[in-house]
Amino acid sequence: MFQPDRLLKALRDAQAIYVVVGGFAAVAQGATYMTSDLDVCYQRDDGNHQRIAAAIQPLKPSLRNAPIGLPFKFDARTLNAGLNFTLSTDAGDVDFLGEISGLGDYAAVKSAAEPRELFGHTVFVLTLEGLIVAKQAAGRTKDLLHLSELRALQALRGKSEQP
Amino acid sequence: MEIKFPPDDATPDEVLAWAEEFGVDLSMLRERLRMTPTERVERSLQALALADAFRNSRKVNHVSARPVTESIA
Repeated sequence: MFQPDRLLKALRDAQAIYVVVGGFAAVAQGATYMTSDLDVCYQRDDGNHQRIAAAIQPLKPSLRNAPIGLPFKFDARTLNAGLNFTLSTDAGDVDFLGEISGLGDYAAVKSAAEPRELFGHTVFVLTLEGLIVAKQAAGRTKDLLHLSELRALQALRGKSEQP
Repeated sequence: MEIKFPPDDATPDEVLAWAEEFGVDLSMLRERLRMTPTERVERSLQALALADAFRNSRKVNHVSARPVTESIA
């Protein structure tokens, strides 16, 4: 079962450095589609890798769509060696992304993010403008369909229809 | 798939007219924008749970209905 509040709490408690991106960020910004995973873009340095691993290890992470029995340990060493990780955990699916198409690494993503209150705590979430750039760059059919809603949300905000 | 999006310098009204034509439900977006980010996520999770329940009920009904279908046949 997808429990984003639990995932976000684990990351917060470990003081991990990340930005919420992807479909979950779009929903937090007002999009109406359903998403069953949490996507985050994380800062790549050894200290943050250790914090992320400490946050996620108790949730029994495994590689999503990997062959059963494939040995996998989600620790700082694994994070150092890779870039993007698609995981299943006891709190649902979570993707750790080192870079985002159209934007770049964590620093670039953070500059296109804004603080938002999620489940009682402040979390950096990719802005509508950032989401639009990322979806345009990804260019998959589902991204293009989502783009129509993101453009509409941006226009509604432009007309100050949002409080 | 090719979608002709409005240009980046289109006015909000032009984008909204295009989106409505494209099939975007603007009333639903306005409703979401009145919510807090947490409420928006919770609404999405409710919809996800509903979709899962519907999908699971279809599986159960499909399995339980099979013997009846077979006996009729």
